[in-house]
Amino acid sequence: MITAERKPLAEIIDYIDNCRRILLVGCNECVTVCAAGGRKEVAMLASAMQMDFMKRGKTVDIREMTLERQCEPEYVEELAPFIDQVDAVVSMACGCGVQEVVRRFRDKRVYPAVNTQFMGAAERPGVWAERCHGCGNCLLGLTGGICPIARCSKRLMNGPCGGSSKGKCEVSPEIDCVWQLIWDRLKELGIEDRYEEIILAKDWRTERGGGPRKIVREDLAQ
Amino acid sequence: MTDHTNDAQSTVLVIGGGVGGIKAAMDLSEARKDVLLVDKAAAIGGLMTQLDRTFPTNNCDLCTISPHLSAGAREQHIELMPLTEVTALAGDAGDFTVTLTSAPRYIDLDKCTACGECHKQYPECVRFYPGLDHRAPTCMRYPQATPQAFSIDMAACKDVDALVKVCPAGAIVVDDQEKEVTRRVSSIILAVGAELFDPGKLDHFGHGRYPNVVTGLEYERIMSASGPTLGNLVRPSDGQAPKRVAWIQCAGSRGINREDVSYCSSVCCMYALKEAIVTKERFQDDIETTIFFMDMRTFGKDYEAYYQRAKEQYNIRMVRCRPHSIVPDPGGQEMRISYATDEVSGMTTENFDMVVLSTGFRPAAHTVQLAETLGIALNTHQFVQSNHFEPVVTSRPGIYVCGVSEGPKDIPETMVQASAAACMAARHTDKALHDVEENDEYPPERDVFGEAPRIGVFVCDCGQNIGGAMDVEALVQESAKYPHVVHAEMAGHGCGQEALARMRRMIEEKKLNRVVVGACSPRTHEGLFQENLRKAGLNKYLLEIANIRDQNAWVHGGARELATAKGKKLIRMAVGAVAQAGPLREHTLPMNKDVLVLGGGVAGMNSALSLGDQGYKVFLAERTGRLGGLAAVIRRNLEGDDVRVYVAQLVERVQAHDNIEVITNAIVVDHSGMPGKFQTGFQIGPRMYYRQIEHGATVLATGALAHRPNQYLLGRHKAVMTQLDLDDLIEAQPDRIKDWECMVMIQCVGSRTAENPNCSRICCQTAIKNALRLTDLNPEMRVFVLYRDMRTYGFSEDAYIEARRRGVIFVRYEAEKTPQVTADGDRVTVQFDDPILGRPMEVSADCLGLSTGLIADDETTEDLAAIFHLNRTEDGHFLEDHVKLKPLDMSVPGFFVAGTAHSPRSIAESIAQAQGVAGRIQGLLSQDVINLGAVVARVDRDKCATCLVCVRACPYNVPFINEDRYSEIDPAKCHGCGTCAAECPAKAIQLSCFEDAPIMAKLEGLLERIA
Repeated sequence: MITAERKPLAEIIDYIDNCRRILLVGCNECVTVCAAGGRKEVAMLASAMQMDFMKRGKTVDIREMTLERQCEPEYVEELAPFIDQVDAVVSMACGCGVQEVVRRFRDKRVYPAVNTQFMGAAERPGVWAERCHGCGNCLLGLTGGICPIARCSKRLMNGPCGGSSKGKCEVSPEIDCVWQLIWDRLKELGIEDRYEEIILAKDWRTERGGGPRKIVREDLAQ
Repeated sequence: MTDHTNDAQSTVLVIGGGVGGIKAAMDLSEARKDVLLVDKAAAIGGLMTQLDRTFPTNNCDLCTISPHLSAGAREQHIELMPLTEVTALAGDAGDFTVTLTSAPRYIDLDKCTACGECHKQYPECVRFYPGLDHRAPTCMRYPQATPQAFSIDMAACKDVDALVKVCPAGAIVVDDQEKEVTRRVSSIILAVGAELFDPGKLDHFGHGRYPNVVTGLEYERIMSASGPTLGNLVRPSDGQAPKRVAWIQCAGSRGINREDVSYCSSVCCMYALKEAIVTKERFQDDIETTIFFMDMRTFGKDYEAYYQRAKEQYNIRMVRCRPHSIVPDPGGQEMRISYATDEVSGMTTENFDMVVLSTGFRPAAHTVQLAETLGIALNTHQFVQSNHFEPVVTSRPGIYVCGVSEGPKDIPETMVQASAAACMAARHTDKALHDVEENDEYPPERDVFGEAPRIGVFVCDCGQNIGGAMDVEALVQESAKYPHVVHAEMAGHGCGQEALARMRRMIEEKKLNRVVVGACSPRTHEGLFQENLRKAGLNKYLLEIANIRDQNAWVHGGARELATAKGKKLIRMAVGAVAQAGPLREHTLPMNKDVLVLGGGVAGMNSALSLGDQGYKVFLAERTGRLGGLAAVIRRNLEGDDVRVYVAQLVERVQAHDNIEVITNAIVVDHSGMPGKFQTGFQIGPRMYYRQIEHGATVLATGALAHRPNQYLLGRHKAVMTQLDLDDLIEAQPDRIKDWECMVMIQCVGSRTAENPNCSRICCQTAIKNALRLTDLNPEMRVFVLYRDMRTYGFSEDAYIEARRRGVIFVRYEAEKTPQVTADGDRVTVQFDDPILGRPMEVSADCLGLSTGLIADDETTEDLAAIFHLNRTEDGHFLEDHVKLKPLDMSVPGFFVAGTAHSPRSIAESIAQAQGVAGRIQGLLSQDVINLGAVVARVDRDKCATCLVCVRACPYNVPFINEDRYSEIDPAKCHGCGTCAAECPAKAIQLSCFEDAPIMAKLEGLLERIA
């Protein structure tokens, strides 16, 4: 899941302060699940924005909508009937959603209301943690199923480094040393000899080294 | 004439409207039996309404009981007759003719709205009850009084005409007369309670002479928010806040002096602790609290822990001494107490600002009179005589007893007996009578779907209650302008019968499809107005109440214009909300009326028999191969009855009963469903085949274990045994025992310790039972009982007195210094400290009897709690839903608990619980359908993001992601708590009755629309 956090209200207001009619668009996928941009967050941000305007003696008209998936053109199309009635769109989706709205409505200003964070998992209700970096060449098969790229502060391929202490990372005592986790896991599985195998230098072209990425499935692409 | 026959066959008379009487009446009403509830007072509620807090939870008492009071009056099967006494009785069980005499109230209950004008202007004419509250005389003692109406003391009234004019409702009936009616009833429940002892009769305590000496109840009144000082703790003599308060226990109880009674009142130790704790909670270190006591009798469920908290957490000083007298300090307002303790030689004298006398129960004189009228026997203490194996049965068939009229007891035990009495009394009524569907009396609901809202607004002035604080006429005119309002009018006293009829007429004439009532609190009146809508053919959820009394008139009495403006807003909010409201359906399912009873001991068998006799099919599942439980190994009870004979008869009856199927060697393995529709799976031995039973209710009567701690050579020396072993030995080998010279008993073995902090309740009685039997066999035998507190509560105190009279020696020991036991050939030597002599003693005994009590069957209760999702106490007993008012219900609906699975208790107390559970189940299963209510969460599948937030947030584990990939909430399981609706990030969940749209509309009515 893609995770996100809402931007501070002041930053959002800054973008739209001169607008009178706003379309505030949430997304019913990842940002709903991580409580950043679902229907409830949309309603709360709309109220907060209105209160902020009223406190300054101004008014703003906000239409609230939440799309099933803001990163899909068919769903984004649902905004079409309303787009001409607004001065700007504020999107509470991840960056993918924001840009999909931008792609569809060329002449409309679109602003993000959330900071898209990372691909992560819910450790427990209300807590999300980074799990995958999207490097394009998955190493999990070598590391006991625990990713050193997403979860090692240094992205070490053969860790740990000298900053690992009592299972924690020197960057913060809140961060587990992922190489400790990997070692523990390998031991649990009884394959600790795997640890001895050196992982060779990674080809980063599959990550961002090769420029923006695209997947084309020839059999599906129209 | 047919009507009369029906009347006799279906009605139960309940005498006394205290908690016990109300509980019995409510249980019967739930079981759709007609109840006639009479009380000699003007309002029901009894003693409990006068208390401040209830132990052991320290909740507000009125908040706890008052919903029951108003529910008691609203129930359609309960006819309430206040100010009424039974003056004659004829006939037999099943067809009694009872004469009832009602004192004049001088107030028409249908018209009185309890506006209080009569009381305000002529306080002297308003009746009140002396001894209760001498500083604020009022006949309506608290705002939740039921019936909610005043009563007039005509004798005190000098200007009757003026008084009549004062009443805006015209409710005062000057020529009201004493009325006498005869009614035919099938059975009678006596729940008249008792009085509290008046310590003014004891001259050495000075109650009545010294204002700063008060009774426990008076102290509660002073602490109570509804009391004369509005809850401010002040010394009566001068209104100063006290710094040192003392309690003296057993004032008038456990004594031999003039005016004393011999028995123990059972509740005073707990209430004194409660009063001291509440005092400490409110004033912390500003007040010193001291309790003078003889034995601390905290024998109830988890009460011992309460006692320990009182000492350790609240620093309440406990002094073991019964002071002789209270004298005023010559220097001022303080009271002086001199006392002696074990630790200090000579007398200690201390001064206190206030002294509270812990007075106990006394049978009221009119109860004695009533017993004569009813022809039932009383015991030597003038309480109603009952039988150990039939704890709520009186000497006259068809008449049952519950609560304190049967003997001193606390509220939970009273509730248990009340439910038991309801169960027993229902046997005499005709079952078939009420199988008519009760909603038939209402017209069919009009379908308002698709109609534009047509709102009617009715605004009460309630005499001066609302009209005095705001301009009701202006409210009405303003509300007529609100959107969708097609009719608005003044409703006067809207809850009166005439106004309700007019409202129904208007609904029909003006084709209203939604209603707003500007009135008092929905807390008290929502049900009434909802029912009125239903009578007019509207769904009851198309109503909104604007609470312009409590939330406006009461708080803005002095600001008419502002209050009027606020009143308008409150009504505008309600109009906005009701416009968004829709009809709601209450979900129902067919009811399975079979009952599963787990545990084939005395409690389980009694529940099964009570239910089987009522026609319910009962599955009695016992884990072992035989019925009888723990009681099967007990030989005698304290009264001397042969327990084995009793248990054998029970087993025989159960096995022969057509409606009871006994399943032995049955172990519960799985469970699902809800009340009225449970499925429980068993592995049944010896071949361990699987069987699933479908049932509507479940009784947990799985018992407890006889404790055998590895202490004092138990199991290692043949002269050492438990009281249970001794009980058997006395019966089996009396000749051997005759020759014993010396017997020692040790109390609290394995109880009231760090490992098992609770008191086992029955061991003190058991020790005395065995001590008396030993001295019966050999009056020369020396019997020592080493104890910590003798907890012979209630009438078992008499046996304690008898034991002392016979020369049994009771020696107290401290928890820190337990007796030492060493083997000495066939004998044992017991060493202990004598606190009075202040020196160690050594006794050589033929036998050492250990009072080991009962402990929870932890393994069983843990398994069952996991399978059924039930709560347990820390020591492994099942935890009831509400320790005070629902001692038999579990927090999971449809589950009930009886016997020692609840807590250690005597056979009589277990039987009362078993029968009480049957009474509760009778109510649950009397309906043919399961009403699931309308307040349930609903998921909009199109909005659901399957984020699992609801699945994780639900405290009852109801939502799940279904095959169609959205969250599903089974209305049959939803508790309507709303947690999921609040948490859902997709706003896909709405809680019926609390949807966003009406709440937002309400806010928009209150605030200017933003943007």
